[in-house]
Amino acid sequence: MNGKIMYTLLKKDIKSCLANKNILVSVLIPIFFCALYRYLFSGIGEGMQGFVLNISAIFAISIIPTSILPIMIAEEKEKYTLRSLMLAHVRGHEFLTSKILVCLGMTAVVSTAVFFIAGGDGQDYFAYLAAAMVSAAGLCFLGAMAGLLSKDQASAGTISAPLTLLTMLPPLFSGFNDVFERISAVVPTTSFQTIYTAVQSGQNILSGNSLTAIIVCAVWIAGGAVLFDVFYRRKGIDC
Amino acid sequence: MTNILKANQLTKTFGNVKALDHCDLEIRKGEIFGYLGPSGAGKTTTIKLLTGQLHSDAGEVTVLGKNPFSPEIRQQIGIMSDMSGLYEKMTVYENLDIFADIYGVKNKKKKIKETLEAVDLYDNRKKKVEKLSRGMKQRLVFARTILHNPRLLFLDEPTANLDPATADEIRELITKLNRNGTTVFLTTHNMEEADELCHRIALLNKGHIVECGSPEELKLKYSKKKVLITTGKGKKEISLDKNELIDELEKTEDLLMIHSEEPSLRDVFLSLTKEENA
Ligand SMILES: Nc1ncnc2c1ncn2[C@@H]1O[C@H](COP(=O)(O)OP(=O)(O)OP(=O)(O)O)[C@@H](O)[C@H]1O
Ligand SMILES: [Mg+2]
Repeated sequence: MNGKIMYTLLKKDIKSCLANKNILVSVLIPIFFCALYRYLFSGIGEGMQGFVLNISAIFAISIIPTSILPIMIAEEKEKYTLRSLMLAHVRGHEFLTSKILVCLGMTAVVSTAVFFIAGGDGQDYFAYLAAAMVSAAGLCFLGAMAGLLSKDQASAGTISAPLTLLTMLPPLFSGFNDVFERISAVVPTTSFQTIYTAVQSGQNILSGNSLTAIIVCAVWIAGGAVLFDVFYRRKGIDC
Repeated sequence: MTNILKANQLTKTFGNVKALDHCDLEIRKGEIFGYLGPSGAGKTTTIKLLTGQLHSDAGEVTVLGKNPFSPEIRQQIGIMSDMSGLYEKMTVYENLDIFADIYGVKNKKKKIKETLEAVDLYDNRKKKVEKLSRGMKQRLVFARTILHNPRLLFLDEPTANLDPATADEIRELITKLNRNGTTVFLTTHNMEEADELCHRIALLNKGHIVECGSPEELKLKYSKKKVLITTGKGKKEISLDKNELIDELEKTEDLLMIHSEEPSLRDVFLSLTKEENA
């Protein structure tokens, strides 16, 4: 990987995100919801605040890697700018790494905003952020594969909408019944919820459920990387 | 003259389509080499094989003395594909800035300014690309292709879908660049363009190179060797044979015009590609 090219791509991707209204709106939705819930539930009490933060963070962690990432990749395919980059011999993995880093950066910004709007405890912030990042990283390869599969932004939307729902809903419904609980236990967004709950109650996050949750994310990251690599070798990025 | 590119027995198959079948190519340093052929003949595929975008099934390619996949090559060649995209939401300047950084262009600001002036877009440098006309966009793509001073340029239909005036501008740019020493590999469907610009031409049909030579050589080779004589009585076509011609001229009293029936490059192209198709 070439450092100068990575820096150029990152700069470009950040700039294009800021210029893309669809992306800005999607990123602002969790923040907007958080502010709205905070306002609606302001009189209800302590428990609600945790609920608002949890739901907004999960929203951000799932929508950015599984919706925005594929759309960013597909946009460059649709407009043939990916082709132009490849003709200048930018490599596929440089292109994708930059996009993934930008998405992780966005996740960090949005989950931070949500944390402070919802009134999270400042003491827990770094543990919270780490949990959010690990969980989002677990979903990035899934999003990158969706991006590889889609030809244009419209098809990226079609593929990513169910992905976003499937990653967002399990932690929220895990309490419904056993089946939901078992499924949700292996989804990275639930991992975030589990780790953060452990942090809030002062438990050691490297033990019990929280450790399992961390392992789930690690498996998603490692498995995703391997699967993505196989997929990428077979399909290529732009042919 | 030395070769800047050499391809030996290049072959590429997609499924059961033989896109390229044992093609030999030699591009000489400093020339504009025209690569002509009907749609689907394999022109774009050839460019992909020559520039390391695609692996061939068989055959060898040497570009500037190296394998086309070697990383050093990218600094020395420029590729304008028939599907090159620009960042529409960014300005003209920003589009070049990104690629100058990717190529590691030295004296970046000065070089971008010079290149924008060369394609006559300097005054529009702050405009968003989405606000440009089609011709301006094509000139910007061209500017981006030559930004890093490539020694060898691959242009895949650079004037397709352009109005005549803009196409002329692009052709002028190509000629100017070539005069300054850049070697050009050009594909086009425009026969007049090929005739005007190219020093040598290869005709590709169904993955085979069916003819190669300078436009003049090709036209002479496929000349019907006929002369058209116009007299007061009408027109008459006779073969370009010295004795026959003298006989004919002696018989004629009211000679108005003598016209050699030289084929155009278009005629050569059509006859060769039709023959093959038949
Ligand atoms: N990626 C691909 N997969 C399958 N077939 C392909 C692929 N690329 C090209 N072909 C086939 O190879 C043949 C040559 O295509 P190519 O694009 O090289 O033609 P061309 O001479 O550039 O045509 P045009 O003038 O229309 O651009 C065609 O039959 C085309 O359908
Ligand atoms: Mg083509």
